[in-house]
Parts: sequence; structure tokens; C-alpha cells
Amino acid sequence: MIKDRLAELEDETYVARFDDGLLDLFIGVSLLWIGSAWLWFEDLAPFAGILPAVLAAPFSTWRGRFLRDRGGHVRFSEARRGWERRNLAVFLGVGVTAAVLLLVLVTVGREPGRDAAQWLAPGVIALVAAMLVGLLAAVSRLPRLAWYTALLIVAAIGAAVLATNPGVPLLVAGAVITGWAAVLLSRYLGAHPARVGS
Amino acid sequence: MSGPDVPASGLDRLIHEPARLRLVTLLYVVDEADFAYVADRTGMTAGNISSHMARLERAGYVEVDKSFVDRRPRTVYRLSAAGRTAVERYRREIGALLSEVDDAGSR
Repeated sequence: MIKDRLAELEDETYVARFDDGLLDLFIGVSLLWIGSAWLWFEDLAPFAGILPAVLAAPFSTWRGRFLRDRGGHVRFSEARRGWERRNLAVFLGVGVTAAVLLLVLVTVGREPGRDAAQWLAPGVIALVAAMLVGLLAAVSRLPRLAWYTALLIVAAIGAAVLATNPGVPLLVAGAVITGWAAVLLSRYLGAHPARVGS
Repeated sequence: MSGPDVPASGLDRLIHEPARLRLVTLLYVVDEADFAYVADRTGMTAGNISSHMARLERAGYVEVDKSFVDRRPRTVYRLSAAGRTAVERYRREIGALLSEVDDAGSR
């Protein structure tokens, strides 16, 4: 029982590392960016996912520094870091595969003379995003990411029913997630002022 | 009238103290953590953390590394091998003690 409690404590300590809301902000802004691309820059839309993917690594480094200056530094056990590396590799593998498949589908598979937004089923991009956020929820064990996944699925269904542009469900979900991220971040900043030393 | 058959406590008093127990269990589940992180997670005051960590360091349970990062002072704590062993021993002993109390209660 006590052993289980220590494992729980380790889990709680790890999950609490995401209380700052920056991961949520990254997801929300990425969805807004990709949704905007589908709505207003359709020629570039199939490639819009590249920018968040490229920014993920520098974002992670910057977030680490931000957290160290506010909530302090922690290094988790080798077992936890190995678990994180394996999950990240699975996430990136699935993400890249989904992005390439979508790209091939949109650029090669569509009928000549029809633009991608008209050709693609309205909820498809949001469903792919839901799959990726759902995978992130599973690997990070952050319950709120499961809610984001559900939100993206509902937005995808809504887009299919209303026959909107594929970018609309991403904009809706992105706006909600970004708003919630702002709440989390402001709470975190209030509770963790920048420190002079640690 | 007889109370539960509680064994003579062999618990490590250094770890058994509630504030120090919080510190060592936190350090047990991570590799290392700095002062700010420990303060944030435990909610303890700076003075409390310093004095308890000093006692744990003197006992050889905690290793302390003081350095400067970006010209700011940083104190990093990690549980030593002796500290890790002490926590595991404490966990076994308190577990045994609690199960004896449970057994006595259900008799």
C-alpha cells in the first residue's frame, strides 16, 4: 500500500509539472494556426502542421527554462525519463505518419480541379488532431488533454453536420483550449513569481 | 484491558519526523530537485527546508550541491544511496507496524 502511494506520489509530481498551461497554450495556438491556414491560406494549409512540429523542440527547451525560473528545477528518475522518451518517439512516429498520409491524400489523391478544402470531409483534420491530442493524453496522463480530445471530436462531428470548412472545428477547439491555457498560465504565474535564486 | 500488540518501534526517528518525511519521500520519487522546487511542492518555508535538509545531510541521507546557474545561486538536493536505503527500510517498518495495528484492530 505504501509502495503504491509512493508510485502515486511520483505520478502526481510528474503530472504537476504541466500545471503551467504552456503545453495547453502550444496545442491551442497550433490548432488556431492550422485552422486559420485551412480557412484563409488554403494552398499552404496541408503544410501548416510543419510549423508547430518544428517549433516543438525549441518550445520544450524554453518551457524548461521558464519552469526552472518559476517552479524550480527537478530531474525525474531514469525510469520516468526513459518512459517519456519512448512515449515521445511513439507520439512523433504516429504524428509524422498521420501528417504524411494527410499530405498525400490532399495533394495527390484529390480530384483535379477541386481545392483541398472543398474536397476534404469537413471533420477529417479535426479528427486527426483529436487522435494526436488523445495520444498525448494517454502518454502524459493529463486528464484535461482527454477533454481536449473529446472537444475536437465534437467539433469534427459539428463540422461534418454543418458542412463547414475543415479549418472551422480547429479554430473553435483551438480558441477554447487557448482560453483555458491562458487561465492556467495566469494562475501559475500568480502562484510562482520569478525567483532570484533557488 | 489490553491495547493492540504494538511492537517496540525501530523506526528511524530522523525520517519519522513529518516535515523530514515529506522531504525524503519527495526526493525518493525524483532523481534531484532544487530548493525552489522543494519549497513549491512541499509548501514548507525556506528556513524549515534549510534546517531539515541540513540534518538529513549530516546523517548522510541527502547530498547537497550548491552552484550558480546564469549567475544565480542554486541548491540542488538528491537522496544518497544511504538515504534511499533508509526510506525503503522505513517503508517496510511502518508497513509492518500498521499491519500489526490492523490485525490487532480486527481481532
